[in-house]
Amino acid sequence: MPNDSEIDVLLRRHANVASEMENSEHLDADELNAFAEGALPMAARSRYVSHLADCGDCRRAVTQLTAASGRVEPERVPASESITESWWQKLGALLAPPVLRYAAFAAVLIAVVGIGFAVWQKSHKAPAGLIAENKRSSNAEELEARQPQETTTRGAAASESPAIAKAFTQSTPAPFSDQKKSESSNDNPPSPPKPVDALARNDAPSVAAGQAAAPSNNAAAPSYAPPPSTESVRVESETREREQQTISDLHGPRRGESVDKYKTMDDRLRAGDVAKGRDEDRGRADAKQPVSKEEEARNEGGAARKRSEPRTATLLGANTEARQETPKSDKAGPPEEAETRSVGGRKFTRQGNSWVDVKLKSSMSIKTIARGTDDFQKLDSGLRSIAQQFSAPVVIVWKGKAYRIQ
Amino acid sequence: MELAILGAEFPIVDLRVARQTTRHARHQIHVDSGKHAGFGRLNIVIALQVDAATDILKKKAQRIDEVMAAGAKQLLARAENSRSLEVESVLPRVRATVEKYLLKHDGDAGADAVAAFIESMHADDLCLAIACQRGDQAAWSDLVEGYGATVRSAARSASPNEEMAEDLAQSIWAELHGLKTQEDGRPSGKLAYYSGSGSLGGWLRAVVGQLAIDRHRRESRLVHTEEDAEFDRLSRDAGIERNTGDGFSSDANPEEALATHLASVAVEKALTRALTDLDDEDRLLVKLYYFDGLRLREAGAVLGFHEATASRRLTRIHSDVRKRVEEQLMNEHGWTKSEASRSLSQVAAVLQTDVESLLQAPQPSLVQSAAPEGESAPI
Repeated sequence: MPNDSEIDVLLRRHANVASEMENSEHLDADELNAFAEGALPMAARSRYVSHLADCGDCRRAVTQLTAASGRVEPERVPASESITESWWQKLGALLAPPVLRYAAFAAVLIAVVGIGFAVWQKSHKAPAGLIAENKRSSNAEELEARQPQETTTRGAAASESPAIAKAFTQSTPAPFSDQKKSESSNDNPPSPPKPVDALARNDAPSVAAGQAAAPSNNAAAPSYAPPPSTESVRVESETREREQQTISDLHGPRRGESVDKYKTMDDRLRAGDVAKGRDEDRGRADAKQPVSKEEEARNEGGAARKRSEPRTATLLGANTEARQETPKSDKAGPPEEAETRSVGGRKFTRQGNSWVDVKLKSSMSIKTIARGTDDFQKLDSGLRSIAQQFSAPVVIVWKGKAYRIQ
Repeated sequence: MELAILGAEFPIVDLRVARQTTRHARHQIHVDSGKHAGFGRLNIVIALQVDAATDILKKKAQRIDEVMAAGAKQLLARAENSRSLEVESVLPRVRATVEKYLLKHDGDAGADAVAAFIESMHADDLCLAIACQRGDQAAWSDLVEGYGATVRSAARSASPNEEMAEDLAQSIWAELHGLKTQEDGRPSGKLAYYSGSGSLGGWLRAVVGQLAIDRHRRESRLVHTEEDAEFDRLSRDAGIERNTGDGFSSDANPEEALATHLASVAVEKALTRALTDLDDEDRLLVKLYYFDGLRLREAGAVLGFHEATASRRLTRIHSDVRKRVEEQLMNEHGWTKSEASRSLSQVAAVLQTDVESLLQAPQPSLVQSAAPEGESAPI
């Protein structure tokens, strides 16, 4: 529809009052038909357009012939149309209400899609975050149980109940190197873990559980990776663990923080972790199919739904038995509060029956001093006051040196 | 141009030839009066160049003839049924069509344009028409069988009733066949005027339409002659009413009404001028849309445009017309741009109001008939 209503009205009125000149000459039938069918060369067409613009009879004849021929022209934008428009006319056309109504609709559509995408992304991110934290927290428990792995054969680990691992944790002081492993496992930022980190963390319980837990490694592998053999996975996981340990040496241990922070979540999701292991073992232990992240996420979700199941649910096979290690160690282990203490502005973590300063580094040489001796009295008063807060043996880092007070 | 001036000074050079020479052999002609001091020498130079130009024209015409002959041959080969025609019988028709639609309007059209135009011609239709013209009975049968329905349909569209339509259709066949005979004894029908540029079916519809208009005019002329005096009187009365009743009510303030009336006259004059100055194609679109009352889709189809293109074009025409009218008002009446724009808006508003009031005003008969129901029926 024409958009200049004033000119439109004027032209309509002009059409009513104006009269056209009578032409003595008219186009013949062949010319009329050739024009109506668009069969004329450009120059001839221009001539006939000029005649038709002033000759009502010929124009009406051409109109009828055009309608009878059913000629339909495809839409095309002639270049001259766009050239004649100035930039402000184009801008005006862009901001015209007929255009804006479509633009507004498009904007609303984009907004809805954008919000939908954001919500979708959030809903998919949230479980991933929970999974990561769950793993991190549960690994804290599992790694404690894993500490005595150096002295335990894998066959034994696969066959023994997780209670044995717990017994080792409680009775045997861990070497510092192993202590670092446990600290490094807990020393993770709360941000969503990268795939490699997740893999490394997932590997930890698998090492603790030995070969029996190998399928879980398969589950943690990227979906595009071919399913590795059990042995290769084990070796690979150990290698990654060593790398992880090296990396973790660079960070200060903040295990207490992370444990406190995620303790509640741990309790909630631990059962889910077990269920997840169960699902994975049942579904993939034999098939050993590569599992996509989405599938894993779904399993995690399923595990979360299953967390109301009784923890004493029947566990099938050695694989699931090994997997069960995590909740068992949690159930039998000391409370989280007992694992970390903060004395004199320093944090200490329990390692067996002793307390170790989180600032302790593997490169430090440790000087052992018994309480009540002269050497003990010669120590700085600050150091002594800290040591006196503990009844059990304690390793304190003081002015760059490590002291074991027992 | 240089040659034309020289030709005027020296009658030996034919001006017409000189102009042709300048157009067609411009690259060869360079006359420098400074170098050619002697008149005789100048004349010789010009004569030589004219000869060269004539040669070029001849060569071009020869080339076009060759292309047309080849095109006619190719047209026969292209036709599914060439009706056993020879190139010699088709070539004159092809040449006439090319002259009429191409060379007459575009003197610079080259061999390629000629070949392309012949390529676009309707080969089968032209062969059928030529065969009919030559008295081929099989061709006639095919024509009647193939286009009988088209002719009847066109006759019905152009006639007020079935009887007249049938009469018109019969007349068409007689016109096509030709009541007279040519010198060689062949019938001289209208088919000789079919060029082959459009389809034969479309051409037949156009012939039917023109024949119907001719009949109508003849009949109208008879009626007009009889009722001439009465019609003229009515026409004058209507003209008087139209001139005085220009849509502006005199109920308002007389000064204001007069000012509006003057503005209306000025705007109408400027509008007429603006439409005259429009590009032919734009003017044709305006006529089709406003004068003939076609829809944009129909008006666009006549011009070979899509509806959307016609709409864009009409929007631009509105803009052009407004600009031209305002400029006209400013130039002729010394108005400022805002005054011209305001006058235009004022006239349009008054017209719009009058049109709306005319549309909303109920006819007395309808009011009476609708009165029992308590409603006035809008028209």
